Amino acid sequence: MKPNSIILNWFEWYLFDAPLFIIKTFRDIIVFNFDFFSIGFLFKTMFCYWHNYSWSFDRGSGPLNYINVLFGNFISRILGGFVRLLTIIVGVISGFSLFLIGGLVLVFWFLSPIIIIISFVLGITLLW
Amino acid sequence: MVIKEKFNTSSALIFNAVTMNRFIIFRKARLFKTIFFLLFVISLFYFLIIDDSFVGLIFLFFSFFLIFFQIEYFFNLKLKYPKIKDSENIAELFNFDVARSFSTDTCKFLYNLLDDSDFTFVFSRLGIDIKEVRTLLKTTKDNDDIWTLLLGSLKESKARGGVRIKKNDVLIFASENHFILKEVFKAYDVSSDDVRNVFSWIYNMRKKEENKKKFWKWENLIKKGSLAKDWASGYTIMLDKFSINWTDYFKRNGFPDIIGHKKQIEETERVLAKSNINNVLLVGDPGVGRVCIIRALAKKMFYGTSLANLNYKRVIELDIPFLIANVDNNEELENILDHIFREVVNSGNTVLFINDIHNFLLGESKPGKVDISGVLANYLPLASFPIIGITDYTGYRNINNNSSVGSFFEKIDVFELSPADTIIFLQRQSINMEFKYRKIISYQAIKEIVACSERYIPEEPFPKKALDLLDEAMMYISQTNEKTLLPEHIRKIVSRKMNIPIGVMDTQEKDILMNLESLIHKRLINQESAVKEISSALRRSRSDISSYDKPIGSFLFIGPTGVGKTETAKALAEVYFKNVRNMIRIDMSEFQTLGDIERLIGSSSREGILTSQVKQKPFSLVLLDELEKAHSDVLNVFLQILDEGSVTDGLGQKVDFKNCIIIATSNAGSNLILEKDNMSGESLKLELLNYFFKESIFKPEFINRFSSVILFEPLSKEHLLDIAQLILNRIKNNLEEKGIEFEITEELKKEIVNIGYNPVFGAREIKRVIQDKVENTLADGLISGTIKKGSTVKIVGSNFELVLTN
Repeated sequence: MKPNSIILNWFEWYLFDAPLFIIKTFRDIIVFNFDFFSIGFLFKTMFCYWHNYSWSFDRGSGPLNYINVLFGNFISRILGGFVRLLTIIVGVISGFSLFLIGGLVLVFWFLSPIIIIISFVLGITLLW
Repeated sequence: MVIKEKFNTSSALIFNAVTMNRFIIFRKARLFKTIFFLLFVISLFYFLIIDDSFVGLIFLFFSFFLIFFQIEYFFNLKLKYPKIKDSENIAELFNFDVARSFSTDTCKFLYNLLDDSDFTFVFSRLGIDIKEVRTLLKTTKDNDDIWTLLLGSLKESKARGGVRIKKNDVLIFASENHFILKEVFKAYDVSSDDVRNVFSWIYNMRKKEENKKKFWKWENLIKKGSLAKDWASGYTIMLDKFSINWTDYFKRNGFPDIIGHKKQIEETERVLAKSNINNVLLVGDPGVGRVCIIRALAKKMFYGTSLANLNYKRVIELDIPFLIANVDNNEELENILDHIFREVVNSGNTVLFINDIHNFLLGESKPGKVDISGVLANYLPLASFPIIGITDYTGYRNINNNSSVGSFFEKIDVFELSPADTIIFLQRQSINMEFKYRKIISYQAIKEIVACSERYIPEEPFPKKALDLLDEAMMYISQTNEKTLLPEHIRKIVSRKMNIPIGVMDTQEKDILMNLESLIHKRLINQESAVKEISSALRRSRSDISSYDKPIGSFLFIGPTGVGKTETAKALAEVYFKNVRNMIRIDMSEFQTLGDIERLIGSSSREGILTSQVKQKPFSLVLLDELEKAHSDVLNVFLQILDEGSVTDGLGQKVDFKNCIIIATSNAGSNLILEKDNMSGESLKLELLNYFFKESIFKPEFINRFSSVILFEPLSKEHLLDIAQLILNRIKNNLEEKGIEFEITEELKKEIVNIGYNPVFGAREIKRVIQDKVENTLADGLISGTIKKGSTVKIVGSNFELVLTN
């Protein structure tokens, strides 16, 4: 095999194929993160009753019952909204963290030849 | 399009990778990477825990680890997959393994190729010794054309939708075309399809293992499910107490592979996703894989790959028997069910599933039975209450007739898997089986299981019967301490289980088959053509050259009474089926009305006389005596049996007659035979058949269904003399056991025939005379004490007097 052909291949792999693989992998992980925390779904159902817990008005019951039902349903929605919002926040933070990690991996990849050289030189120097 | 003249390995880029592979740093990059990584970790620990005297090593090992990491992936992901620049040069289309093994000498090429762990697996599963094959390839001079091998491999690669020629493409083509391999594979009875199947088995296994390691892949990530998809769904506290959550179960234990039933899975999804009636009845025989459809559905919903409004829903099986066991009365049961069904509606993410639903939808109250039709009917019209019921065909009929629920279900038929799908199913199951029993399952054994269960266990569906047989076979080899499950084990088990001789014939059986005619003639006089026909049918069946979709043979014996029709059947049963008890004898004169069909093939409440016996003894001789006396509709039942080799009994089960010999006898037209004493052979048979059609005794289409119609002609005096000898021999043998010698004289035989000769009754009259004159005389002598142990006796004169000669 011609040496220049290997070098060309290596550059193609190092600069194009491998970074693309890293980007695709982190894209999948980040999309999964949003799916795992069900962020889209939680936005859609933000103020839905918590686990469908709701009460309905009984016919002919007094105003106290109306207040009870209204309060109960309100609490169910607020509780649902609070937990969902919290989950969305955690999901977004973890998604952002994964994005940062992905970026760092990519940076590490591009710097890897320099890291190899520095490590090698440093290693030899320190052993000397 | 590849061109022979353009074939050039040196210009093909894949051969660059082959060259690089010769260098140790490329070939062993993975090993070096692991070593340097371990050294890096150890030196880091040393630095952290002990001292910093070797801190430089940490950096050095880390840099080497990174170098070999890059080399490994660069080589495996880039160099091994170069771009195809010239597709006319076939060498460009080789994959790395093929290029690495390539030689213009086909034997050397295949020899190199077989030095591979995948091939060791493939050959061991096919029961072929790979070392032997490699030695053969190494020591044989090549006389095949490399170009033919390469072109064939390319064709194979294109047929599976590939671009490059892989090692399996070469082997599959070579297995049928290479001068050495084709002989080896033929000797082991392995076809190229078998090789293809084993390769797909191994690739599936490897792919699964490799994919499991790649946690970052999308299909692995989605297996983790989601955290909050069910937060908007209602709790199902009561349902959870009396149910099995299949989605949760598979989430914990892994979703199984689903083979076949693709159409039914899609149809179930479509019905469940409907906005009006969205309830499904999966109808099929137990064992066809109805529950597999539920599993597939649970898998698709969990992964979010089903239809939009089904995704992320749970599949929950309501365990009604468990619920019934926990309630005191029907009222409590209905209250709990109503509560559960309300929970299902409220949850909004539940697909309910009830197994054997017909047991609970009776439509009427019966003592000891539970009917939930009433409470279920209120919920079935609701789109928020999707339900899947599993039932069989009898159950479906009852549900369909149940007006309160029948119309709310959409029926989906579930049929058994095809034999090809069953092979794949067994291959997937075999991994668990091998682990459970610590034995190896050969591919040939799997193939044999499917072939034997298809042919000999027709009453059960695929894949159940094949899986049961595999389990039984594994148990069998565990007891015999053998390492590998082979086809002969399967044949032995099926043969023992079904009482059918299959597989390689032993010497005794071979002797019987080859001498069947003479063995039958030991107890039967004359009727050569009948004996020859049935003997040939048996030989054809046992040598596996006859068709599998009909009985072994079906014969109609016609002729006057007492000429040996029944006796022929009995003789065959005794000689080949080992015992007269293996003969199922049905007196057709008992089936003279239409209502008698139920007695013959059974009904929903009782077993049929014929079908139950054939189920018990699938390898037997069925004798239908006096066929002409049966009702014409009873005969119609036999049209199907003779034509298709099976019948569905009154219980809805398929009863197989493919391993039976059917012999029907008829005396119809006896008078005609006696009248036409100037006719014989074929002309008499034709005359008789015309008489049957004219008198509507048998229809032509019925007669045509028999393999052969055999005319038993009246016996002559000479035949009767021989028959008398045969019957007297039996008496002689019986007396011999008592220590008494009985002399059979020509005079005695002639006297018997003189009295007993009657063309209307045939040999039956001879039997009667022997019983009356000989047996009675001997019995009197024995009881009176005239005949003692050690005596020699004979019977003489027209008065049949007993004479003691010793």
